[in-house]
Amino acid sequence: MKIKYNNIWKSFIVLSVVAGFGTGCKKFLEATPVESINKSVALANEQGVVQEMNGAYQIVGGTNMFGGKIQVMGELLADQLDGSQLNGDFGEIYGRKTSVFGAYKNDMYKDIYQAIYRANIVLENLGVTSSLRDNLEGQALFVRALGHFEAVKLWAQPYGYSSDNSHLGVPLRTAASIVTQQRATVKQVYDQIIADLKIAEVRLPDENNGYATKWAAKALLAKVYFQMNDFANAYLYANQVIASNKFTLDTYASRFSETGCKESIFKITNSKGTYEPGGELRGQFRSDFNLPTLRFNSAFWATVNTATDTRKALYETVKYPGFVATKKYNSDRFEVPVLYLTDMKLIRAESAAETNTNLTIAIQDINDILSRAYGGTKSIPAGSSASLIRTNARFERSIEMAGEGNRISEIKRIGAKGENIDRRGASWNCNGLVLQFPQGEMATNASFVRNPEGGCN
Amino acid sequence: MKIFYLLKRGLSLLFIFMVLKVQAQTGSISGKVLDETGLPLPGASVFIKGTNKAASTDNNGVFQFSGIANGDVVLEVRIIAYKTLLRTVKVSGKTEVTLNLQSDSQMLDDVVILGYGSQTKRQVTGAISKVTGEKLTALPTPSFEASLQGQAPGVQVTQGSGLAGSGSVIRIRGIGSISAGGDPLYVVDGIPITSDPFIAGNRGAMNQNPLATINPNDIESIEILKDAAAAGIYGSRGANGVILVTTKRGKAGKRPTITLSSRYGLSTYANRPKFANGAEWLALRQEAWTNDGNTGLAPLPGGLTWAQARQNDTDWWDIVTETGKSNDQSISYSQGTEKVNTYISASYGDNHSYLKGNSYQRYGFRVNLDVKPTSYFTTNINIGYDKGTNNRVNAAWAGGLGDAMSTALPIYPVYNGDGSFFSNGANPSRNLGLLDWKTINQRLIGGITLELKPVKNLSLKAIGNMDNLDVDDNIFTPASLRNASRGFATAYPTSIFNRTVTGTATYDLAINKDNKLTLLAGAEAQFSDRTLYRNGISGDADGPFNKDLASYYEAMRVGAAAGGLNFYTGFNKETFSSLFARINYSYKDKYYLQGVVRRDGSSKFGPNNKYGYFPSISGSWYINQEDFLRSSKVISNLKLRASYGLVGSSNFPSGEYYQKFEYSGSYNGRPVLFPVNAENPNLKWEEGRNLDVGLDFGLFNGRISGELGYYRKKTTDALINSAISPSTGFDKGWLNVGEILNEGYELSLNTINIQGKNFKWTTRLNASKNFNEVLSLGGFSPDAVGGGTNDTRIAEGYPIGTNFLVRYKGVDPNDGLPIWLDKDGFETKTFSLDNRVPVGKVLPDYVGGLTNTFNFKGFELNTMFTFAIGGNLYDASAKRQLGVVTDWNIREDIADRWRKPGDVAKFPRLTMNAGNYPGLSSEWQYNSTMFLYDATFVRLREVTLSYTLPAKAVSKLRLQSLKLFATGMNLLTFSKYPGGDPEIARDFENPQDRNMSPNVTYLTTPQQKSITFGLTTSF
Repeated sequence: MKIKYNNIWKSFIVLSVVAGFGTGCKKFLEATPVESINKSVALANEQGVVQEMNGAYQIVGGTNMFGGKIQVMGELLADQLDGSQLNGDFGEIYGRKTSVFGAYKNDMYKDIYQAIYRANIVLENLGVTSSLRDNLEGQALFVRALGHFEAVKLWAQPYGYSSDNSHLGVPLRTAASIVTQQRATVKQVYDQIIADLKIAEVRLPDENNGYATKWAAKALLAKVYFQMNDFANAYLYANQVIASNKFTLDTYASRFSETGCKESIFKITNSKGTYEPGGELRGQFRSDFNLPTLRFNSAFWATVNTATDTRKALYETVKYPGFVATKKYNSDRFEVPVLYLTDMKLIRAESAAETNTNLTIAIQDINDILSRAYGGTKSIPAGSSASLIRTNARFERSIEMAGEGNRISEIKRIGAKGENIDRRGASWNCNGLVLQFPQGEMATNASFVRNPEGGCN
Repeated sequence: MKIFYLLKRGLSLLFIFMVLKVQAQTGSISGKVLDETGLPLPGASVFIKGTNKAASTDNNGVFQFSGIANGDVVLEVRIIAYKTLLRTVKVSGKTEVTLNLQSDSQMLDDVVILGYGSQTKRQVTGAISKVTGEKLTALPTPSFEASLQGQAPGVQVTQGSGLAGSGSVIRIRGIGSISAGGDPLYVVDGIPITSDPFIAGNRGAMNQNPLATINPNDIESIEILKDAAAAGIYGSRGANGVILVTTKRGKAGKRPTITLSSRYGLSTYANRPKFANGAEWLALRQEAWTNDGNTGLAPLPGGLTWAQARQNDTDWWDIVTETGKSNDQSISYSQGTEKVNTYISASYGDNHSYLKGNSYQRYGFRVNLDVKPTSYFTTNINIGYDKGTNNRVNAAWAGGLGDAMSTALPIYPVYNGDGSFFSNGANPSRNLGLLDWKTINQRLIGGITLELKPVKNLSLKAIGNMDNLDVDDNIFTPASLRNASRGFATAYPTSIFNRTVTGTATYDLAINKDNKLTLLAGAEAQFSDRTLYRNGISGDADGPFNKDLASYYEAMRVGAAAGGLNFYTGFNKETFSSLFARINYSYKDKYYLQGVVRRDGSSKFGPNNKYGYFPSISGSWYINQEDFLRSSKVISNLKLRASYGLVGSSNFPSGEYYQKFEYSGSYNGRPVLFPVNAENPNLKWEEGRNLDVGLDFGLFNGRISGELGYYRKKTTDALINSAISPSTGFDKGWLNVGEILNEGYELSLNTINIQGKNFKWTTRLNASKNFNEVLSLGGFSPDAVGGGTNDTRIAEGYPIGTNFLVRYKGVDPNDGLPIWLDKDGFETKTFSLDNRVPVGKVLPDYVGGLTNTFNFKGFELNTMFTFAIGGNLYDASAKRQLGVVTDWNIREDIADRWRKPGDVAKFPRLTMNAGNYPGLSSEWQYNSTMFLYDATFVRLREVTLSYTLPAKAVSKLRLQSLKLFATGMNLLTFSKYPGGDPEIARDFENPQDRNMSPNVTYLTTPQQKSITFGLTTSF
């Protein structure tokens, strides 16, 4: 074997130099993972901020928010499900006795705030944006308001629980910061939500390629005011949205469909193969293949199971004898409407009734809903009383939005007006109807005030 | 006649003279190597010092050299477990020698591999345990590292589950990390290799173990570096200990040999929990229902009526398990001459675990080549390729056997009346044969070392190493399994690249006869990154993506169009650049001193802490060499060693010191960029200050030998990745805040109990005690670190992995309700999470192994017991299996429960509603000492009976050796834990979980119990 030693010497020297050079070379040690982009690079221009904003929607539409958990959480706390066989986290939530643990709840809390954090990052980096500046600001404020609204509804006693709403709400995050924070009062939280939405309403455009529009901001304002039992403002904003004539009543089948619903004012879009929202809804409610975990109780079924109610068709009562399951979510993929016209019409009608103004419009709203629900066989007469309108609005709402997590907001809102409507017999302001904060809040901040615990019955 | 006679003699003499003349230029040596009793020693290496010449002895102990110049030569004879012999031989023509070797149970002349070099055991000043290759192949473990259990003091091995290819948790001298990885550094033939069990996530409740591809048959030895003196040379990565794997090489002077090894095995679970059958389950349900004050029949889960439920008694465990089968074949060729040494191997293994559909198939090839063209230049080349195919099944929380232990109830049928699968409740049999899930690991490890000795005693080495790991995870769920019109496939193609370039210089300086110095200096650069699709590739398909390529490309097209494909080259990129030096000094083979320093810089460290220095100093003193002991008849060896130094650990992800934004997934068909972490420019390694003191002893000429060790490791700047308020949207961020103490003792004791001509009995015992305490957690409360799936916490003043639970006092005989202890120790009947206190720990006090070997003629019986004493086991599944009656299986030990007033029982009255135990919000929060067990166990880890055919018989078969054996693994387990396997390394979510939750079980698949038969032969 003949080996050229000169070559070996050379390669040896080259390798040694590489090893030695590597040691001295600073650049070599500044290698960063390609997937991890430094903030200054990531948010250097408008495109980065747009993508960051898109990241906020990714969370809003994800499993831990409107991809299903917000709806599921609402249903579990409310009074329309059959909870007799629920256990684990669901049993705990249904039992209205949440504790500092429970991943289902705690992951949801964290993600709501992650959406808010992402929105705050957008707001803090508007400086690099140009043509989309207003649009991005509006969207970020909308998402921040939506996040705070959902959090304060679940983790605090409702607006109206104390006369000045000085009772504790949730941490109010208006800056992208990782320092711990105390809970703000419910008034402070609602004030901030409204302030955010009022700016968003102005900044956002009419149409926005699937993202939040000015109508989304207005619709959310209507919902927020309605939740505060501020009926004048609720009417005002619901009316603006409806009067825009951009949204029309659609069939029940279209509400959770892949092709979308003409009613949607703000929705989580479905992109086949890359982003298919609603997995948690399908996972807990879907009934075409097997008996789902979440089923409805007989008291609720009795309200739907009337001779002419077409909404009966939305329930599976044959396949699993003795159980009532919804068919709303029986497809592989669909869009998830967050704010839609039926809700606005019911808000407008009930707000009109509560303020005893514009009753004709309210009657028409109710009759639009009744006509669709009962196949044209049911209506309320012209000149109906405010009280009849209100009764109908509340009753139809409880069926229209069943399985969408809305009922708990009604129990608390109407409770705060002094009327207990919980069919499970609990008081609207009992401890257990408010979720407990994750242990992480207390573990990182000894002075964080957690909610009092205790069941409701 | 006489003339003729004379002529004949004369011619003969002339001929002899002529021959002698030739031999005068090139003489020869033939010799025999014998042991003390005069028996031949096969396989000994014989070298002629100062030359490249080498030989090895055959079955009769015979070796031969030819072509040697007449005159004095020095023969060096080496064989493991014998003292190295140096003998000056005067060569004059055809020379014959007989060499008698002295056995050496201390093996002081045994070569020990170190980082960047080797020493004889005599020279070692650090704490190093060596495990030879044959100990690793003795057991059919899922991966080689599991075979280290019970083999070395200070090394705790918790074998993973019975899943094929699963990994183990290895802790060397306790644990000094919280959120960062606590695993040792694995170095194969000089390259720190990829061993991260989270490299492919935690899918299907199993952590993919990259080490499982490594062929144990290729391993010559494993050295475990434990203290600062030994591991210090690995600087910022040595603090958790280092496991050096050295593969086999051809031995100089060894004639070409082919070795075959073949083994077949059968396996089943080591032990299992027992559950109520259908009728019992229904009775328990009804009892709970009645206890709750209800009348009539209890409602049943799964939409079943009582009539339907009564018809079923499904044994789900039986449905998802079978007898496992394994088949391992390997062949190797090795050869050695003066200039070229070769080792070539090929292996095949197919291990079907006892879970239906679960197997690990492995192919491996290796070529190790040493070329030594001259006395001053050597090249070593190593190439190893392995391919492991893991046929996966779901386990634990993901289903399969996990379902059989939880929500697959005996009252559920496999099929509905119409023949379709029952699907209103868990049905693990549905997945069998339908879920197609393969993880294929391909690993190529290659290295080249060029060594030049330009002048005497100076060695310069240039080393280049690479480690490429390709992980291809393909999951396919057919339409019928996912309740959809089409099937769904996911692929996670990942390639991990890992390179090191090293240069070292070693100089041996003999100042005089008594004073010797060895100097080592080196530089090293390491680079590693990954190429992958961040979110994998998934979409509708008609088969797994590696088969249905059309759907694969369609899924990629859709992903790319949305900007959500997220393909990266350079993912997780990290670099290390290091300088290191070691100096060894010895005086009269009596005193040894060593100094080591390493400087590490890494791309992972924050700009404020870019470089770390890791010095250590150590020494040893052979007391028996002193005059006052030299003549002792009792003490044959006595060595005192001590070391102190700094080592680091940097087992955390790269890119954590700055605020980073990443792309992941998409929304509305557009890419998504989001913030990932909180920045920390001070981020750095964890730092350990390690003290080691040890005493090696040999008594009665080595009949009794062993080691006593003491260590104290104090870790500062331990990383936690927690403690951020969740209302920030994050709950994690890396902070160097913790202080951890590990302190312990180690004992290893080897005794030759009986040594007769035909019979020998030896015993090896090793035991270690570790004390672990978190000295400081930077003021955070116990709940700041923990949560998630691990039911343990980190609390100041308590060990890592503290069971933080509500104390259970017992059942109130009057009403059957549980009695708890509050924080202050007062009894209460109201459960509250605020009453959780530290009550246990997952770390054992003592671990070890006891091996007895009996030799009779060619027979050998080897038994090994391994044990863990102390510590606790928390059964996180028991709170569902033994608590509130829900839709879970119920364990048989529920029999000891309260039924009527006056009953004294272990478990409270049954209920179907957690709320009936006052204060309990859900079954998941039922974390109490009711489910905390003593984790002590003793296990008959190995029984091997082997027979080695005598040399004569083997020769007749024209073989060099033939050995037949049968091995039983985990045949017996002794434990107080009624819920199954007491040795638990469950599926983990992340390194923190891995540090904190060994010995926390959650539907964990029990280990296997197996019997293996096989033979090894060489010719």
